Order: sequence, then C-alpha cells, then structure tokens
Amino acid sequence: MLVGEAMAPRWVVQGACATVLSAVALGGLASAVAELGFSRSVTPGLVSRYSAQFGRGVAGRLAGWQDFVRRSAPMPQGKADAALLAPVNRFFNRVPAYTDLQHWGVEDYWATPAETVASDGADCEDYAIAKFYTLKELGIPVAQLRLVYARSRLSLDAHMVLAYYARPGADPLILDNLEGSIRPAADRDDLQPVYSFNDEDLELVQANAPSIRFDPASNRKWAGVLDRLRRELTY
Amino acid sequence: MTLQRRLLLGISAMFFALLLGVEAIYLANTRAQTEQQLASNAQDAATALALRLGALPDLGDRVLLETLINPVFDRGYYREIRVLSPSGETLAQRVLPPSVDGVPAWFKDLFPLNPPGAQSLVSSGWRETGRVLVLSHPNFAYQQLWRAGTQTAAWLLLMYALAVGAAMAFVSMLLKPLREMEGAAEAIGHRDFRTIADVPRARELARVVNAMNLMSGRIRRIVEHEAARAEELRREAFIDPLTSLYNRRGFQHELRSLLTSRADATSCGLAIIEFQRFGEFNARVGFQRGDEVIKLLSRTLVGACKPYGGMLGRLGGASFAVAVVSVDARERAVLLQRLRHDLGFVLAEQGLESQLAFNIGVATSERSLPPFSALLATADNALERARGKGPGEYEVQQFDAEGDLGSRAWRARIEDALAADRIALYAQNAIALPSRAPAHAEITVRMLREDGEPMPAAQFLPMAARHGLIGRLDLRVAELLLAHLAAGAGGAGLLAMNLSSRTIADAQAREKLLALIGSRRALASRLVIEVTEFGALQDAGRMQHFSEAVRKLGASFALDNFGMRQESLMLVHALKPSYIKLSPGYTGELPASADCRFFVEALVRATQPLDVGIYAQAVEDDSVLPLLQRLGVAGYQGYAAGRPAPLAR
Repeated sequence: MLVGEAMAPRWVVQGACATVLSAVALGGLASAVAELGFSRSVTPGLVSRYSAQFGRGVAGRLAGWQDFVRRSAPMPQGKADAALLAPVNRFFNRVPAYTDLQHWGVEDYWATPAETVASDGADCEDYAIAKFYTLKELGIPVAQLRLVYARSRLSLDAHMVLAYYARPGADPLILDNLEGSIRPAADRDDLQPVYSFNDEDLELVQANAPSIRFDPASNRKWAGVLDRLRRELTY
Repeated sequence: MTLQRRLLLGISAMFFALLLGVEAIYLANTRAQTEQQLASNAQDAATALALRLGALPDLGDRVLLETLINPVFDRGYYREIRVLSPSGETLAQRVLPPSVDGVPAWFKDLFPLNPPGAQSLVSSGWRETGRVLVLSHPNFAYQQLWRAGTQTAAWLLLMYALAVGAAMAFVSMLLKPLREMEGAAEAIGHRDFRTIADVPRARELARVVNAMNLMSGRIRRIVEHEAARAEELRREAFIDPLTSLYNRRGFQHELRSLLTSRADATSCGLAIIEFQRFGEFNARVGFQRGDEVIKLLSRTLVGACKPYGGMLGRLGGASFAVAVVSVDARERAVLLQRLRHDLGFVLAEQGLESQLAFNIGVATSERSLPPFSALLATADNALERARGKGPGEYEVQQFDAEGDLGSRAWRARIEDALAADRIALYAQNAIALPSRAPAHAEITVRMLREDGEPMPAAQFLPMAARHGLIGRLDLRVAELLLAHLAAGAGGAGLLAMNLSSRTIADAQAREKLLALIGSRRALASRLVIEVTEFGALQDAGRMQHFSEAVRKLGASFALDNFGMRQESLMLVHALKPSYIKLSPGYTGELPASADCRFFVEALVRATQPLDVGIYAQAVEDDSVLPLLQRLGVAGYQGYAAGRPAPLAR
C-alpha cells in the first residue's frame, strides 16, 4: 500500500486513509482478476484438457496443488505472513527442472502455474510465476512480491527469482528454485538483480476527470502468461 | 412531391447513413489503435527510465532525478512523468499542460482518448528505491485522429456527391417514360388523344404505356371515323354533287349564318345569276352536254369570285348565287362586271351565246347586314326587273333596313354610350337536355339610348365594328361580367360572353382581356368565351393560341354559330371547345331534312368522345325538343328556353 502526500491541487484525496495514489492491487484488482492463476480456479475442463496434453497423473498433481493451498491457508482471521514462504518454496522446488527447449520445445516459454504443475516440469521463471500466484492466493499482498530478472554471477546465465519485501524499500527474501532455503538478498552475492516487476495496478483519482490507470510495465512473455491464464478460466 | 424527388431523397439518405457509419467505424478503430499506441509508448518510456534510475543508489537527489527525466520528458510526448518513493511520496514530477491543438472540443468529447499510464519499479540492487509513472500526452494523437477523420470525411463526401449524382441521373433515366406518360395522361385529360412513341423497357411501365396507347388510338380512330362520316353527310346535305358548290339549302344556310354571325361585317352583296330557258336547252342537247355546261359555268364563277372571298351556290337548274361580305361598293361593281364578262366570254367560246342568255339581280347593303330573307327577296326582285329588261341585262337594288342614320352619327352615338357607360348586359339561359336544367347563360350586350331604351345588337354592332370600337366594347363587357361574378350574383352557373374575332386579332385588346381575366382567376372558372366559327376560321393559328391562353387562366372556350364548313371539324380538335353552338339555321331545318338530321347526329358522335356538347340555337318552342334529345344534342337555347333578361348591375 502506497501512502500519499500532498500533491498538485488537481489531484483529489481519495478515501478515509487520505491516500492520493491508491494501489488497487488488493481491492480492485483482487476482485476483477482474483481467480487468475489460483489453484481453486482449476476447472474440470482444464483437468481433462491438460490430461490429454501431458498424459497420466495430471489430475492427481493438480489436486495435490489444490490440497496444498487449502491446507496452507491461514485461518480466516489469521494473517498471511512470511511463514507461508517456506512451504510454498518447497512445494514448487520439488517440480523437476528442465530447460524450456527440453520441456516445451521452444527457446523461452513462460508457463502458467497450472501448466507447471500439470506438466510436472519447470524452468526458473516458471517456478517464480507459480510461487507468485500461489502466495497471492494465500493472501500475501502483491505489493510485497516482485518477479526479478537477475544474472547469476557464477554462470553468467539469465535467471529469475521471486523476491518478498517485508516493508517497502526493505532488503527482500529471495525464493529461488536453485536454492533449497530462503535467504535474504544480502546473502545472495551470486545473483545480480537487473529489473523487477509484478502485476500491481495503480489508479490515480481526479476530481473532474476520469481516473487514470497505470498499468505495470511488462513484456511480451508476461502478456502471454496473462493471456493463457485468462483462457484457462474458460476451459 | 414527385416520385423522382422521393426516390432521390431516400437514396441520398441511405448513402448518407452509410457515409456516417463508415466514418464512425473508421474513427472508432483509429481511436482504439491510437490509444494502444499511446499506452505502449508510455510503457517503453517507463521501463527505460526505471532502468536508468536503477543505476542511482537512492532517489533522494531531486535535481539529479529531474536531470535524468528531462531528456525523456522534453520530447513532448508525455503529459506527466512522476517518480515515487517506495512509500508513495512524490520525488520528482514533470507535467505538460494541455496545449492548443486546433482540434474542436466536440470531437474530443465524441472520440475521447484516455490511454492508461504505465508504471515501472526502480530497484537499486535488491532494494526497491521507487517507481516511475508515465502518462502519454494525447495532443499529437488528437491532431492525427482529427486530420485522418477530416480527410476521410472529405473523401467520403466526395464519393457521396458522386453517388448521389449518379443516382440522380439513373433515377431520371428510369423515370423518363413516367414523365412522358404523365404528359400523355394530361393531354388525354385535355381531350388530345396522343400516343407515346417510345415504349419504356421496364415491363410494368411498358404495359401501362401500351394500354394507354391502345385506348388513345381507339378513341382517336373513333373520332376520326365519326368526323369523316359527319363530313360525308354534310356534303350530301349541303353540297351540289355536280358542281361541288353549295346547293340551295347549303347556300341559304351558310348565308344566313354568315349574316347572323358576322356582326362585324360592314356591308354585303348578293347576286343571283339565272340562265333563261335552260330546261329547253337541256332537252335539245341532252343531259350530258347540259351538265358539262353547268360545270363550265360554275368553274367560271368560282374563278371570278376567288379574289373577293365570295360564297357561291347553285340554287337549282341553271341559277347560281354569289354573296360577298365587307367588300366595298366599287369593288363589288368590278366583280359584277367581271362576272358578266367572264360568263359572256365562256358562252361565246362554246358557241352558246345565242342559245343561253342570263340575267343578274343584285341586292346590296352598305351599313349593316339585313335579315337573310329580306336580302334574298331584294335580289329576287332585282332579278325580276333585270329579266324584264331583256336577255343579258342586270339590275342592282340597294337594300336599306334602317339606313336613316349616318355612319358618323352612329360612331358618335356609340362613343357617347361607351363614355357614359350606357351598356346593359342581358342573359339568356341555355338549357341542358335531357335534364332541362339550366346549363349556362349566354350574355348579350345592349347599348342604351339616352332615354334608357336599348338598341338591338343588329344595329350598333356592325357600326362598332366598322369604327374599330368593338374591342373597347368587348373589354367593357368582360369587366362588367367579372364584376357581376365577383358580386356573387347569379348563383354558381357558367356565364358565356361573345368575343369578336377583331378583338382577338388586336394584340393590345387581346392582352388586356387576358390580363383582366388573369386578375380574377378565382372567378375565371365560371367564365366561357364564345367565338363564332367564322371568326375562328379567320386565323385558326392565332385562335388556337388564344383558346389555350383562355384555358390556362381557368376559363372555358366555346364555338358559336357552328356550321358546315369543311374546316369546322378541324377547329374542334385544335380549339378544344367546351361546347359548340350550332348555327341557328339548323334548328328550323331539322324536322324536315333527313340530311340535316344525319349531319347533326354524326357531329354529336364525332364530338362526344372529346366531351364536347352540341347546343341547338333559335329553338322557338318545345315541339322540336324530343327530336334534339334523340339526336343526342346536349342542350338548347332560344325563346323556348327563355328570352334574354337584363342582368342585374
């Protein structure tokens, strides 16, 4: 949540908490596209379709993912916090790693969480995406999560990890498919972060004009993931 | 509204709707595309700036921040670039206010551009140092959209104009036969049974045109057939088969109608030429030779009379008659001498001067036209006296009805009456058959003497004609008549006034009269202009124009004293009268003459399809009415229908 300050007079103060810029990632976005990429969004149609595509065991794996989320979910009054990170990291790091060329037959393919679970194979960004959505489903605010492009200082390969920020501007915790444990970024000298993003929308509310939406800057791959997520809802 | 205009309006409305639709779809598509472009532009800028700001350890240095933002912002494509700290405080902000772009506000309202902004996170190492917000400026996009919109609209309007023009030409071509049909239908309404030469190609129209042509042609053939029959009967009744001159009945009839109809005639002369003892001559040389001689003599007479417009008849056996009207005394004398000379010459040439002698009796009248019977009696009298004088002799006798007043005195008297407006209008009803309801009233004019007593028309009309006053008189009558109509008197019936052919021949008087009728158009429909057949034949072309002008003003046109001239039936087609009044002479002859009855019957048949009624005149009593009704006569006039009564002024 972004906390506003006094700005140009044409911006109106919105809401009781006196935010000028209000992040709608939790409110607006959650209600609009909350189901995208969640385990509970898996439909029977999706199960049968991915069963046909990826062979036996798909239904069991998808059910296992759903089961995991249900069990991990905090009590209704409970607060989602960093304690959820370790189980989610572990759950997805069990998925066997393949290169996209091996697994999908293309150079670079960003899979949806359901694809990752169903196909039982993943590349670095597939882990990050699956963890991002599962944590989101479990109630971690999107504002605290970042998908981070990074470079491995050892192999000089491009890599992607998921970062968790306890506070804005704090040192994040890194969820990496190559590492069993979650460590603070300060401990990760082997990684050089390049660029980070999430799917959080910002909305600017104005007095006498329609409010302006600021979309997260993204790329073609991410847009492809969102596309497929939307399509999965229709299976 | 015409069919053509309706069609064009419909077509152009459809084209216009199409144009609006195309323009709207085009602009909507372009707008969506432009919005997408603006959004992706903002995203690029946000990503690039975020990467650049990521190089700074923190974003606390506002001056440094703005130095980095400015190169991007100053390109002018962005409405706002803002850098926020992770907690949401604004660290730097550049805003470009909306500028004047020449795009009208309504256009912006109609096609709003609200592209989403873009944001990008700024990280220094693992630490998030802030985020960049970028919003594209829609000015350029609006200008582009407006330009594209106006250009497309101009193109579409051009296409629209071309399409409407093409549609106009096409519809006009398609409906051309319809216009011709309309013209033909209107002509048929005016009893002009024409046919349409170009049958349209469209099947429905072709059928209608064919049906119209068929009907029109049939009626025309019926009319032509009946007219030919009437002409044939007329010949049988009134023409001498041997000489092709009028026979006795024809001559009497024609002369009588000439004398009654030519109110504007100034003088007349009647000569009877009789060859003595022709019966004996006939018996001596045989009928064939006798007929040859008669033919030869008649040809001689025709040749001699031709320059004077004389009327010729064979009264029977070897007696002929010549009548001239409005030929002055000197010329009449020349004509008489020429007749004598030519006849004498022919007889000498044939060696008959000893066997055939002739006498000529002449009756003349200088001031007015005398009654027919009186004129004939005078000529007979003169012939008798010439016969007494011996073979080859002639005698001229002056007929003088009331020649007590000098010509100049008459002129003064008429001018006085006109100036003092001592003019009275009389109306005589014409009765329709078989209903016996009043059909119309004929208006006659009387001039009043100073003591208020009317002078009969037969007295002053010839004098008015001779002194060129007839035009003034006719105009005054028309004025009085229209005033009478305007006063609302006389119910709603038609009123017919006689118009002299001299008035019509006088361009000034004619235009004045037409202007007068034109100024009271509402009343014109109750007005009938009657012209004598003789007057109409003087200049048939001019009369046709006049009759058309009269009808155009809403008034009717009619023919009076219709006789048995050869051209008469042509007049009916050319002048399209509402009705025709027969010469008064017919009425008396109808009961006795079968030929006459046949002629009237044929005339009725020939004019019925043209919707022209035939009226009998001078009907003295009811006894002839059943006969008129049987013949199909539309109505009658005369003492049996009522005497002329003064029209209230």
